[in-house]
Amino acid sequence: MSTIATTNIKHASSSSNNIVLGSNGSAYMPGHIIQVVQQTTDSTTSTSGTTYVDTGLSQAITPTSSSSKILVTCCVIYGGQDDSYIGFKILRGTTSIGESSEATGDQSNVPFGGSGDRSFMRFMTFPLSYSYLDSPNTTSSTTYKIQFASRWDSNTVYINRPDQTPDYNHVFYTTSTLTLMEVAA
Amino acid sequence: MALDHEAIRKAYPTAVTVDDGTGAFDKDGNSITLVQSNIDTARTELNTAAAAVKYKEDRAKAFASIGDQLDMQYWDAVNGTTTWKDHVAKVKSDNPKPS
Repeated sequence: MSTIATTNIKHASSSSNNIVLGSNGSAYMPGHIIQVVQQTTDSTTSTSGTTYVDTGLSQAITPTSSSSKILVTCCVIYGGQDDSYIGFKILRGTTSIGESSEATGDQSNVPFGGSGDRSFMRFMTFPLSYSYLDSPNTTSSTTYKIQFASRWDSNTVYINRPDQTPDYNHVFYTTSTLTLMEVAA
Repeated sequence: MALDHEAIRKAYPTAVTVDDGTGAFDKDGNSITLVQSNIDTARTELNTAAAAVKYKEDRAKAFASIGDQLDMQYWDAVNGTTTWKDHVAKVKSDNPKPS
């Protein structure tokens, strides 16, 4: 068996390298996932305030190149009192990312949120999935985290559990996840 | 460690955020010192209040669907039986209202 020792591989008609081989065994291929990290938490958190607080989902990643994209994906499970509304923010460091810019007045610009107005919401949990392709433009360790807030009438909202937790098998305590994928670019 | 969110909110009405990992905080983000005996007292009060109305949820789970109950009533009317009345009476007796 033979070994090819090289650093760069490119198509004959390409102006740039298609594959760059790292001395640490890594292979850099634009458009491909080159690193995946994830945090999963079953810790429960609740708030009745309109100020955004941590969900407990926080994950750091160190991009191998400043040109890399970071695909942020999450699945957050929430519950709340009847007629409660929950807003989320995604922070890269202290910078909020993925927010809408369409809200006016008292409306909320968020990347994603959940709403209640259900008679029995207090016994339920709901999954919210979201993804955002970020361009951090750094090779330094970068922390992404998800925050949440109650957005209506001080009703309490929860992460990873419903509002009411009677001793029934339909009462779900859950896990939420935050996954970061470095996409070579 | 999982915190008792409801009991903490009852014992400390200024608590806005409760986090299993970091504790309880007021609207300004100030940490609230939690005393377990206060939380335990609040939990006892919550359990007492919940027990007083638990029979309603137990009955709601035990009752047949509205469709099935209508079917019981139809056949009771046709056959002169008391299936529906017996069903309701059994659910109530199996899940009595606390005195």
